[in-house]
Amino acid sequence: MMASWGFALNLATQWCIYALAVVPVTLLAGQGGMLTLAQGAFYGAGAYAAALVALHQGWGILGSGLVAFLVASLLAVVSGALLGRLKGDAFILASLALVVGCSALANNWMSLTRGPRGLAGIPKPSIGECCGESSRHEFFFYLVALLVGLLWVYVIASGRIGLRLRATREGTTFAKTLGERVVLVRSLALVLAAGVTGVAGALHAHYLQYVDPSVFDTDFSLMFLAIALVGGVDRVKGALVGASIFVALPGGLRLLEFASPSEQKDLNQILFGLAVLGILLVRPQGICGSLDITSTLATDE
Amino acid sequence: MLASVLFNFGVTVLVALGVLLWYRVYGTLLFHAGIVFVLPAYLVEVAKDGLGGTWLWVPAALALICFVAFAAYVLNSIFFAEGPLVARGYLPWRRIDTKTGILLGSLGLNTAGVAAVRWAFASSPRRVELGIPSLEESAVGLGLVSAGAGLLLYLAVAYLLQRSDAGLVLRAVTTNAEAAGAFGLRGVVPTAVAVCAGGALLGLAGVILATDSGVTPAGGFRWLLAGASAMILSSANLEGGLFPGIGLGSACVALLVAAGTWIFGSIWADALLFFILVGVLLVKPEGLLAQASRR
Repeated sequence: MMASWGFALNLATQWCIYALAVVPVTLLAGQGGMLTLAQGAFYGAGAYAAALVALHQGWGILGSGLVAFLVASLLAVVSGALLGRLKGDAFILASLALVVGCSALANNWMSLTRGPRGLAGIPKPSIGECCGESSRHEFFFYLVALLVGLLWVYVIASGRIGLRLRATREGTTFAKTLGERVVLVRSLALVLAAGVTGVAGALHAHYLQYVDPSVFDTDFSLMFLAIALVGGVDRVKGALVGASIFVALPGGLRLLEFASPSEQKDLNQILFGLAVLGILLVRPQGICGSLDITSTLATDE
Repeated sequence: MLASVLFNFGVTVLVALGVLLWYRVYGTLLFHAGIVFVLPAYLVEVAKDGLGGTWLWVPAALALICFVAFAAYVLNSIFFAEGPLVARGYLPWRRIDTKTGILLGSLGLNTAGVAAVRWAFASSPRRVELGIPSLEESAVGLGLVSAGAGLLLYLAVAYLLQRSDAGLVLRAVTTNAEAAGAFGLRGVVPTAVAVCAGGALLGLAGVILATDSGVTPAGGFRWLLAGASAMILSSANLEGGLFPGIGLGSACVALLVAAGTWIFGSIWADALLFFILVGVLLVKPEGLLAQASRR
């Protein structure tokens, strides 16, 4: 019974991390029509930043989370200047380029990242007495982080930036005639969203206590995109529903011992890939969504 | 470095041709071309073992390449709508019919395909032995074979597309399906031939690569990018784009990748390819030969 409770808590914690990473996609894709694969880069950058300050400076989760937020945002500032100029399929390809570039950097910058060996021994999250040894306390900490992330995205989406972002989604020419600086608005949204994904990366590093260049795998980016697509890119609840499916399905297969641990990763990947294909085929707007993002992007060109 | 440039050119030009044929039909880049690139090499290696080292493996390899190409066409037809058929309103069942949808769907198919190949064949690199030791030990020899095969097929496909009646029909259908339909040209057969031919070229490129450095399940992605970069560099993807320019684009990419690998190391090759692609998309999204193709 204890083992299954622990397993359920693990899944719930994973759900919090994945949902937090995907919630910003609803801002970028749902509000701005920017279907990005760069989330993996911001996630990985956040994970590495948090791991480095936790290991070398001994900072706790709040400090490392803040650093992860800043590093991911900084990466978005640099890349946003380029990505913000592109749209449609070119934007998707360029966002994938960012992930591949970061992966090469993590594999090669041996003195900082230790290359493929990765960084081990990252401490579990702990803020005084409230979050320590117990995985239940740890889960509640991650849940609070998710709620803060949700609030952050909600405030942005329902504010002036969200409105301007929606104007750019309707058509860049239309937005320009209204006096909008399209590149600036898109880049700003990318920066604000990247910070949240960076924090999710920091939680990932503290949760697994290890981080290696595989966090920059395109599989991660695809998984985040798949979660958003399956749930529905234009609704925050879509991210939560999508993350539930993508955590519960592999978890269920693991529980059934359907495949050996080494085959589990391949099986998950097959599921993620087919889920993307299936949802695009059957219900392109996702389970909770109302916006067919693939058509929106096509008209945006 | 010369051997590397020659070898890369041969593989890149074949991949670029395959990617271009698919691009003309679907209107976007299809990521699962990477699987069509690596799968025949794995199957050929298995077939070679089964045939016990006789020369029968060569026709068997060609048959397997054609089989994978046809299977790719069937799979594509199930999930993705061919542009010319969408334009003529011919969609017998529900398929993904937007460019972005096809791009994302193919990314999903590629992810699932890579995992499936890894599951079936393990992730270690597979090499196809040619059985000619003197050739296999000579990097320049392999480079010449690769560049020769690439150049020959490039010229053949360029001739067929630019000069033959079949090529004219295909270009008409993929450029303006409605106008082609008004002249009685149907899109089904030309698109099927283009997709199968594209798949076969991709598969052949994978087998050629496997004779040198071997292939890995995820390795097709890198060569897909090389081919896409060559296509975009040479503006061959544009409507009425100069098809022969793709040879020039492939040569540029092969040279840049060989130089980049020589200077920065092979582990940066993927990133380098992407940066070439993004650089072109940012600076000159229409490619370097756009002016010539407009003329």
